[in-house]
Amino acid sequence: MIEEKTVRSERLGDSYKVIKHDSGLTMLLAPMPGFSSAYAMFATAYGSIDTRIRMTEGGEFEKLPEGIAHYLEHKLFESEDGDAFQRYAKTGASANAFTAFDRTSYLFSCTDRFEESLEILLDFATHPYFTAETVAKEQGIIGQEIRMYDDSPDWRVLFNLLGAMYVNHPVKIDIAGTVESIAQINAELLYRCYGTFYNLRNMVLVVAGNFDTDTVLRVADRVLKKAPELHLERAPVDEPDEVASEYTEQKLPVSVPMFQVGFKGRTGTEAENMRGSVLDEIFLEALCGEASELYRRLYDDGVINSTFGTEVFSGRDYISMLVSGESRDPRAVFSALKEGFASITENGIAASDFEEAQKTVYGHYVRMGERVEGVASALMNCYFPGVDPYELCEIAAHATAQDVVERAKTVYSEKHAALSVITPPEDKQSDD
Amino acid sequence: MSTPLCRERIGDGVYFSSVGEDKFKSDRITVCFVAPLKREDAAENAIVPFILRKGCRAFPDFTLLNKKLARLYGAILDADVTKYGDRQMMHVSIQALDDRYAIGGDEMVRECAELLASVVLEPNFDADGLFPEKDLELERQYLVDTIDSDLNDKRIYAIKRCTGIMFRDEPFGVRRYGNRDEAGRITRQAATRAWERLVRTARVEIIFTGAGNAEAAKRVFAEKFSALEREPVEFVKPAIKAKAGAFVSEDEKMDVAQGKLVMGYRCGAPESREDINAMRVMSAMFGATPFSKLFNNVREKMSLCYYCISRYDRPTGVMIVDSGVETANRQAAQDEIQNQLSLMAAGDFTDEELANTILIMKNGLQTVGDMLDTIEGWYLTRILEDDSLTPEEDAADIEKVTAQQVRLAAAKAELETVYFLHGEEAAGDD
Repeated sequence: MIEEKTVRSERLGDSYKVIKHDSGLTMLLAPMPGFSSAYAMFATAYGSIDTRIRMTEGGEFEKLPEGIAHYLEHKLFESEDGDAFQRYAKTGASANAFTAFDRTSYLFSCTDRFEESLEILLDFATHPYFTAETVAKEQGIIGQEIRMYDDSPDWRVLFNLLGAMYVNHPVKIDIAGTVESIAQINAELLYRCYGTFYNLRNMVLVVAGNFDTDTVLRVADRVLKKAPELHLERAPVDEPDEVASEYTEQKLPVSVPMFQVGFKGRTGTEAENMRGSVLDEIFLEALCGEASELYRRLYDDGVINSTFGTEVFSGRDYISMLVSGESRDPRAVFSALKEGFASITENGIAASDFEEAQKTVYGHYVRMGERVEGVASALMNCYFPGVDPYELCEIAAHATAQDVVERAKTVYSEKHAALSVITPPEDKQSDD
Repeated sequence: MSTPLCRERIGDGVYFSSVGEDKFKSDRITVCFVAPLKREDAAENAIVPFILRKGCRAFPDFTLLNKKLARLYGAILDADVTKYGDRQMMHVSIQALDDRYAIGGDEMVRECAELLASVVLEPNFDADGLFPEKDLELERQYLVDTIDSDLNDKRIYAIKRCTGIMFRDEPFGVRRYGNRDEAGRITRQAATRAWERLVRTARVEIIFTGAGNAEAAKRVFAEKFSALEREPVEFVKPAIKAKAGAFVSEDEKMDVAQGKLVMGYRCGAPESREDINAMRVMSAMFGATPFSKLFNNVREKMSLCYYCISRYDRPTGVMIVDSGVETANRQAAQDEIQNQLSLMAAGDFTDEELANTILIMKNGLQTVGDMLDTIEGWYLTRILEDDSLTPEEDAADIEKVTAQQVRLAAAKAELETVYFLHGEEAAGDD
């Protein structure tokens, strides 16, 4: 261990430790008294948007096949003597992994045998093993996964929206890639990507819940070797403020048309996006939260139902505000949201409306700290941007209506918005 | 380690249960109306929690109610309907920050309890003494859409089609939201009658979980419910079909990229908790762990499917295996799933596989106490099963299941129904 510090929140009565390990890995550890389970996440700042990369000093930017980060995630579970799930089987841990736009995480949750499970996690993720045969075999499995997502209206409505909003940004490509793009992946390329992105200096280990800090240090000392210098440069993306197209539609069997509206934001740094997203959440509550005028009007008109919801979609170099739900008239919802946006940015938010929106968002951030998984995810999500998760709670507690509106005016515009719709085919399938 | 449930009768057929846990930052209170699942009542009952969620006498307008919730630091007021065997349960719950985290020193528990009690017992009736027409219309449409939305997730759709075929003559066959046509015909008179019927005859289970003062909540509900004239319904456990009926296989074509194969097994009528636990362990080893027989063989070794999962449903005695398969692999996948079950019945599994399965089940049970909604769900099931097991006690019982019991459990599972949802390619292609 090189360095250790404790971060506390007076307000929440919570704390976590930040430990810089000799290997180059940073560890964020949040023991939570009273909880039975421990949740560990080992993550790299590598996701589906990392498609143009310089991996050696002075080398060229290299174009990587779409879906390779996800492919690597699948393959990393394998080693020469079986896969990680077989090893976890002996500890009772429940393990998983997921690839997102700007990170890949490997995780487990357990109530017993924490030390053995942590050893498995750190060991398999630092020992890649790929052969031509095992890589080829995965093509079929991932091909099936891609097909499954092709049938998912929830997934399609989001990716169609991202395709409409973004002109150049790789956030618009499917996380798993396409059957064609993954056909270009081979063992050699996987090893090179692994060597670059799975450098411990580009990773973080987060543990929350029922565990002991010394155990984590003991396992890290045993398993991790000092990481080499990190050579990694991502090609900058030139993304205009404007959307690629305002409307996109796909036909899939759904009972009621589904929609997703996106207000495309102008990205700040990763940390600015993270802090700003708290203000954007307050903005969305004021614009169309359940207590808002607009929600009421759309609900009474029967154009939205209780599936209606909002989220801020933000990452390393992209941010947007999303509104989604089911509607028989998605264009009416879209127009109303754009008008509502224009009205707030012009006239501000009434004091009582602001207080309600702010309290709602504040409550959401406090509650995150009562779930083991919520704490681990918040620590991981905040680590890469370099933000303290407790700060998000304070931003919510201290925000003013003026901050929220000013930010919306600077980052978003009703002119930079898009609508994605999934409609049922004409000959709608009948239900029995 | 979870705290045991503290349960008390506070009215005729009305129970208040609480599980206090200091570690949480919020409190959750749920009022659950438990009614028999009947074809004729299901849709009318199902609309009730959703209309109640729209307002009450104290907050007669949907927006006023939502503003109140926002001021309670974004308290979440949720309505839903679930089913357990032949019971239909209408839930309305509120979850909010505990008093300790309220910036303004608000009495959150009492305020939330009063609001929830008002929402379920003092509806916002209009001058005719009925639910408002507008609320009814919107919620009826939403209920119909929700029933239709099974179609959005093909996996859930396919499972429901399979169980629909299996339970066509049993009370379990009624959907939790009822039938689409009946939902579409609900009038405000019928919805109001359904609410009155639930308040008078349903068993009412109120469950408090969280860090706060459960007594404050109990006082509110005890006062409101003790004033009611009630005739609570008596429940009798339904018979579980001991043997599989005639084999049924049904295919359906739809515009989907990946086929969904669902197989329904009858697992006999369990005579004891030991029988049930053996079946749970068997089903987990068969297809509910990342190292299960189905995962390792049907998916990993033979690449016949993307996922292949089994689940044993205790109140109906049925095991469902569902998988995502290419149409061309359908028969091969079905045969291999059957083959794996036969191998288990023949005892073709190791002591280590059994121990590992038990370990992962224990892990899941010991995690129940870490979240408010899972604690609530656990104890609600306990109440319906008429026992008071803690997750730790259940884990200790699961640990006692032997290889011989698992083998016998596998031998009891009989395939009754196969349902296959597929895309344009001709079914049965090899």
